[in-house]
Amino acid sequence: MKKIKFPRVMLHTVFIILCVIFIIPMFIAVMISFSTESDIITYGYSIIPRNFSLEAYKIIIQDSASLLKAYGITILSATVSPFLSLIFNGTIAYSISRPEFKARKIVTIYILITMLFGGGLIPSYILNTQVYGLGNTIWVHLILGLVSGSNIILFRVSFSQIPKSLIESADIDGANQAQILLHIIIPMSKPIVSMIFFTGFIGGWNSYATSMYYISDKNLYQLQYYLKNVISNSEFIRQSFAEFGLKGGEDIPFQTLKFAICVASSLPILMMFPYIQKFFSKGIAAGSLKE
Amino acid sequence: MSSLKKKSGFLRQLPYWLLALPAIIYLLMFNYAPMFGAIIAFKDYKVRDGIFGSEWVGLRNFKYFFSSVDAPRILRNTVLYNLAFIFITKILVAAIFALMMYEINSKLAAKVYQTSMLIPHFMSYVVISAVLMIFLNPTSGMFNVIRQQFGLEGIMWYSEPKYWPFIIVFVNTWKDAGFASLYLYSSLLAIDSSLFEAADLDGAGKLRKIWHISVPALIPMICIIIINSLGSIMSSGIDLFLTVPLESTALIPTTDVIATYTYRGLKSSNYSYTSAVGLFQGVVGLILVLTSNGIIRKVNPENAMF
Repeated sequence: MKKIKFPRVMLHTVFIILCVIFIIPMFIAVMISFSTESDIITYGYSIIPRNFSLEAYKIIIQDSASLLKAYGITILSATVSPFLSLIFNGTIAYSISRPEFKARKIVTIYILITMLFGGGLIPSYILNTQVYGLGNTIWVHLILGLVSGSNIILFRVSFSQIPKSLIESADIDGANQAQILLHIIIPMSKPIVSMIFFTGFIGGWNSYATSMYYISDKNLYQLQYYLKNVISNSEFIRQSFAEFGLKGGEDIPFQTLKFAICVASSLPILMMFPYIQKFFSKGIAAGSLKE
Repeated sequence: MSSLKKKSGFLRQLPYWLLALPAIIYLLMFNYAPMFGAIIAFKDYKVRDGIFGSEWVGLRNFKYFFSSVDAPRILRNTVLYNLAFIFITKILVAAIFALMMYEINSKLAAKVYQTSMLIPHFMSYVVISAVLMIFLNPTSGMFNVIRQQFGLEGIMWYSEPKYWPFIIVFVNTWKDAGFASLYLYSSLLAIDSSLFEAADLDGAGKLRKIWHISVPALIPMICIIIINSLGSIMSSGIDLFLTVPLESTALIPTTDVIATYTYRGLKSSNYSYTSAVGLFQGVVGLILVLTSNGIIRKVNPENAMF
């Protein structure tokens, strides 16, 4: 089909250079995590470690109960919260997708207003901490950001593409609305359900702001906030690891530990990457993901 | 629509209400209540007096903000960075990636390239900030190590504001352009191949075909991206600006945006003043969203939000 010669080699070369730019920083981070601390101090960061060392990973495995706690919090919030948000957003989206629901226009406007305007960080913060008592509790990781207008709209668009006759015949057979939603609507909306779940999972996994705003108890830190403290605050590492058998600050390989935790915290996302990519490429191609 | 005759009584409507109720209550508690809570922007909020008990001060907080030296800085940074993110990351670079990707015939190669371009998008900004330190760390960072090998002095990257507009835009592009290019790539995939065959018959060269067929095919999606992003031009996310510059105070002139400013206000318990900044941001955001939606409705009603 394409008869005219095009410098194809050049195109591939450009792409390979781009891939290197995209991937190599992460690759170097992995390599640093396998380096020895003294090499970094003497020679700076290097792409290939001069001496291979598993020291940082040994410390992580042996000594860090606090890191494991952060993992636990993140796993909990990155799975439970998207699941709850599917329920909260899906149910209301179903109601407003049904022409039989008389108040659907008003409810839709009620949702749209929240997409247009927000009170801002401070009023939310005051309410959440002083009225709802969410500050420094596990609940803050599960509850905040559950309902989102744009997700409701995405659901509604997908639900309204389901043939009406299917719903009506279930109605006639005497199924109640919850049954219709559970047995007809959800199974037929799998792409959007998994897209919203995955987006929520990745968002939850990479989130640190909730801990930054609402949590002062180290036991309730999210993984990324734990990492953020490790990066910017060597005192934080000293405290976290000193409790668990390491003697003095000098024994701790700050640099390699930092990157080892980076690697450990990104690993789950990287392992899921083939699935993630499939969902997003498909979702965008199908137009279900709006910019 | 529905040809079925139905009882439309309260009982008939009840299930819909019950299904909608959890989200309605949630929005009331976590979205509507803070909107009313924003009245503290007009008060001198004290924790012990509460939202209602605190003293009214009118527009004092807004006056402080607009007469401060901070206002021009954070407004300029927020708007300019957002414009750069839209026009450089999401449009220019993403379009180049998409056009190049479209010329790749090998499925395997396209998959490999796409995967590596997407990986940074799914990394957290905290990890990105650590990765950036590999290059910018003043003592062991690669840039300074290389500079020293050439006999040049190292640069204190984290205390020199002048480099940061470039660094911020570069990091954002590196992280998000690959993902943004998916949208544009999908509009290229929708091009009718008979257009290219016709151009071949006319003897058009490769570049002419790209310019006259591929590029025009991107225009509608580019318009959607511009219009949709304009609404959020005042609300830069906090992640990039809070993690990547490592909260270095020396970098405030070029890395402080509304979101980081509000965060510092929260940390220093400067509640009423910071609420005023947030409320101002919210109102400008509202105007921008309404405007952009108005434009969408004229140009392309299907994509309008309402």
